[in-house]
Amino acid sequence: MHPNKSRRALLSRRAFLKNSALLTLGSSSFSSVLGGLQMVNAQSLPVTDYKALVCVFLLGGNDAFNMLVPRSTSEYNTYASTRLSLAVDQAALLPINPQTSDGADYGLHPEMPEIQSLFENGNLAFLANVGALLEPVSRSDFQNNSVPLPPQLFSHNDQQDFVMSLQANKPLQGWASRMADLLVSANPNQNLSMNITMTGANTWQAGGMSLPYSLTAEGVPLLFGIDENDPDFLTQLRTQTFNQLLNIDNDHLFVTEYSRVQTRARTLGAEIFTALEQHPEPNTPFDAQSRLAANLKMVARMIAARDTLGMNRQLFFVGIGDYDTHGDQLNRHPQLLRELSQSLSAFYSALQELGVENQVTTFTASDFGRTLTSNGDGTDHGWGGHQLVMGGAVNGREIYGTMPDLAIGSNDDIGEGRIIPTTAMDQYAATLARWYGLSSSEVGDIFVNLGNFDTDDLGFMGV
Amino acid sequence: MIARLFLILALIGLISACGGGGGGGSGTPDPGPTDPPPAHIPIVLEPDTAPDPVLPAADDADAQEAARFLTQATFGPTTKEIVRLMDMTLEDWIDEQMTLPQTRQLTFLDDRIREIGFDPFNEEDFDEFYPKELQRSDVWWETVLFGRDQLRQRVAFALSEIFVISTLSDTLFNDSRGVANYHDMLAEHAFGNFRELLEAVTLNPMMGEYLSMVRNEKADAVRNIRPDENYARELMQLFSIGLIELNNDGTPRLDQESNTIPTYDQEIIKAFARVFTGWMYGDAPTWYWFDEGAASEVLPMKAFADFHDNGEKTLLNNQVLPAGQTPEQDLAGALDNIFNHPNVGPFIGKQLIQRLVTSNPSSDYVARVASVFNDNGSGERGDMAAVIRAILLDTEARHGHTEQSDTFGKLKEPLLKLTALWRAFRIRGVPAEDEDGFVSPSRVRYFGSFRETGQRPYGAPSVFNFFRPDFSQTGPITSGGYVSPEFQNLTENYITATTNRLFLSAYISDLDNPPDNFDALWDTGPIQLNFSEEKAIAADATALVDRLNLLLLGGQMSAAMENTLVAHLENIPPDSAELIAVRVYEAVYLTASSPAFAVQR
Repeated sequence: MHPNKSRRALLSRRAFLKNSALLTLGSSSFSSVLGGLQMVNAQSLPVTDYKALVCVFLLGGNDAFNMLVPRSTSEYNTYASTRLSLAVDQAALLPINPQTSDGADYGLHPEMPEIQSLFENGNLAFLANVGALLEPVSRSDFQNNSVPLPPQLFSHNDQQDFVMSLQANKPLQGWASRMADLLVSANPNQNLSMNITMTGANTWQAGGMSLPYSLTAEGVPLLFGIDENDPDFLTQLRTQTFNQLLNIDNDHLFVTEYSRVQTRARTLGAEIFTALEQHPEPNTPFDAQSRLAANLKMVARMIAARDTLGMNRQLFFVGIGDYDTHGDQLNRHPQLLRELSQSLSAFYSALQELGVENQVTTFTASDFGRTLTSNGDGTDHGWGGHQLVMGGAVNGREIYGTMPDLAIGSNDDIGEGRIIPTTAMDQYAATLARWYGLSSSEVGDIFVNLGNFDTDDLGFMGV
Repeated sequence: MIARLFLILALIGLISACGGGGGGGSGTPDPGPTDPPPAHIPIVLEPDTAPDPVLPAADDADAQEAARFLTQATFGPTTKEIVRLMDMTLEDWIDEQMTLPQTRQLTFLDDRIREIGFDPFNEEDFDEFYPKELQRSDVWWETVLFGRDQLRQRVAFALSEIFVISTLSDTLFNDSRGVANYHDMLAEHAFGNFRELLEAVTLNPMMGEYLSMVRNEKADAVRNIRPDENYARELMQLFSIGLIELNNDGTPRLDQESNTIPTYDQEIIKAFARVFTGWMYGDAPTWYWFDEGAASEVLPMKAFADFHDNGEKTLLNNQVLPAGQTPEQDLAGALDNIFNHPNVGPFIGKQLIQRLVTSNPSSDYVARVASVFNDNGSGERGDMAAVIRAILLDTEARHGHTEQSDTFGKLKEPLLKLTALWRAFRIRGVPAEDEDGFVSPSRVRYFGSFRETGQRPYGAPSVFNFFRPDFSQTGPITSGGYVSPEFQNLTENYITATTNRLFLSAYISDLDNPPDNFDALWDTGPIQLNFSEEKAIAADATALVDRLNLLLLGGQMSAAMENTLVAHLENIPPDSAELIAVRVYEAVYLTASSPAFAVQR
């Protein structure tokens, strides 16, 4: 039994008791039970339900203006005359029917039929023209340099850092890391980080009290020949010596840190390995050729093992690269969107299989959008772009925010079709954070730019 | 005990590789001691099979210094090189290295592609790409493990982590020759002038593909296209000057309000994007040509003036390129403009220090190296040979481990950790057998390193390399104000899988019990390591540990670690050849997997 299992069972029992009429009787036996529980967790009301956020980060800057495209003739013509050779064929766009209309019709890239279904079924929403902002920016603000801007717009790593931290100054702490610090008591298991990454170190989960735990689609590797429970005497001795060597030299910053990482990897690796073994893989097929699909499958497996692992709140990071389509975009970008559509759809099916589709919300983010104009066979670094949010808790079949004017030289364009975002990443993140369980004041505390915008809840999340 | 050990190995699926005999690479008689071949002898990629000289004791100060220096300047010290360097000055060793002929990977790659039955110049069958990539990987590993031009190759590796191209992106699909040639280009310029290096990188068609400068054309109002900004941006941000103005010591320059000062803005990027228009594959007969092949990959790009924007352009520091210049004139002027920016010395100098010596050089160290970059003493700017000398011979490189004993050095990135271990024990490859029974000669096959270590030569996730020079691990490193670039790649899965590769290196790689041939299409082959010197002394546990102390840790092993290892080894009675071998495997694995070996100091 997991050491935290008994505590988790108690917490579940408390959730049951809370809803039970018996509790109002105030019998001495129940009081003593509650007294014991308060010893276990002296903090605010414990979190007992499960929720997870899955960030699918499209590394390199997704050309979202070819993902969600105006379909009605007038708006399509504007789009087509801006994008020219990069424009998706009007007839090929997959129609979608949002709950409310801004007067135009929209469609999806033809490689995204699964996303179309998820949208039409109400389990997916789009967020229009969201991006990195410190405060609202108009075209003249930008031209006159009259409002502060996030540092180094259009630079990959700086914009990834900003989108993932929503902070303009170093040292950066990612907003997943800040959420994890606030909700740290939510998880009975205090050894495993709330933050799990499938693709290594990232700013979203960095900088806080605990480092993210990193695993891969292949699962958790265990150390060969190191196991204190092995019947082999030499292995026992070796394990003992290995552990001693991790602890005796701590007079150097990097040596000590290396030991910490090795120790954590070994302890958590064994725990997660065992937990994953106890839960069958989902039946939903995932494309084995796709890294994104394989990573999302492992996220589903981790979610399946949530109770065994003692996790009530989890934040998963899944990066997927090659979105920096400066060249050969007409060949490369459709493949990327097909992989995204198929992988997200498989993931949603697996979550349904696990019965947690309402408790897991998946969202995309990216460095930036791309230029509307072409450099001949691709696009360059832009600013605003569209994102998608998927889950049973999403108020789906809707496009939130304002679609930009795609005409070159419009008030949304600062040049070459670099589009000024009309919704801030802070607002996007805050809406997700509130659903995840942060209070209004906590949301205000961790998203420092939020107060500069008209709303801190974009309304795309239900409860 | 041995049986138990092998039971464990069997349980983890390794025993099949342990079967005795069969290995084509075993049993080669050692030819006896030889002098290093003179420079005119053809370069070969052959393992070291000659007996080793006697290694001094780990407390020999000269030996320690030699081993430490070789850890910084090569892919890992060997017994022979430690002993040889003890009789030389470091300056002489560097001079010697700089005159050695370069190991050229492209030549070897073409030979190997022919050996496996393919034509290196025919790239029509896409299925051949993967086996060709395996050959390219083998040649890279064997170059850094066997090559005599160690310093050149180590600097080329450092440069490959600054001027990043990656086959992980589809843009370099089917370009094995081009990538091998790109490596050769970096190695060729490792001791040249930085301005020439910048030009060679800029015109290399692999960089042209990776950052989309090839086929970049001037704005065309009819098609509503404008120049691609990709190369212009990364050339400045990553390859030369960085985002903010620097002092000569690498610290940021600040304005009157204590804010950092951007080196360029979007307008300057657009101007450079226009500079880099009109360039195409070197053998392209016309601009609209899509038949590039194996020959195109290795030729510098050439210009088509009709597709070049020859308008006036304002570059860094308001320097203007006049209208009407040729593509070549614009390119030369733009590269001169960047090359002469005062940031280049501290920006590139500091990163080379980080790649070779230490993650957190003092600002004085950076300033000393940058000053040599600015002027090598003879008025030349950008003399890379002088910069490399300055980095390796600097007092901080030589004495940092005692003067900043708690912070000096760097985490070994996995590739360097493995090469250090493998070179120390004179690695040999293992023959690769294909489906038809054809056996390739011994190969060091580790194309699968990405899966286990997160690293593969020319396989970074993006142009931002495997790790950033300013990455700082959360915790004591960040709170102390330090950076730790290589920790960005030290995830739980990679530390575990890399440690397991060390385990396999120690336990199933013994030359005296050679592993079998391996499947020629699998990306990770077994290796053979020569533990004969260690076995000869292993009956004395203290002597064995002392040897590993010098060979792997540069004599910097703590007394506590030494005692712990000796105590462990003394549990294994040296009563038979098998038990002696187990002592060696245990000692090698526990030293190599230790936190002490993880950090280069």
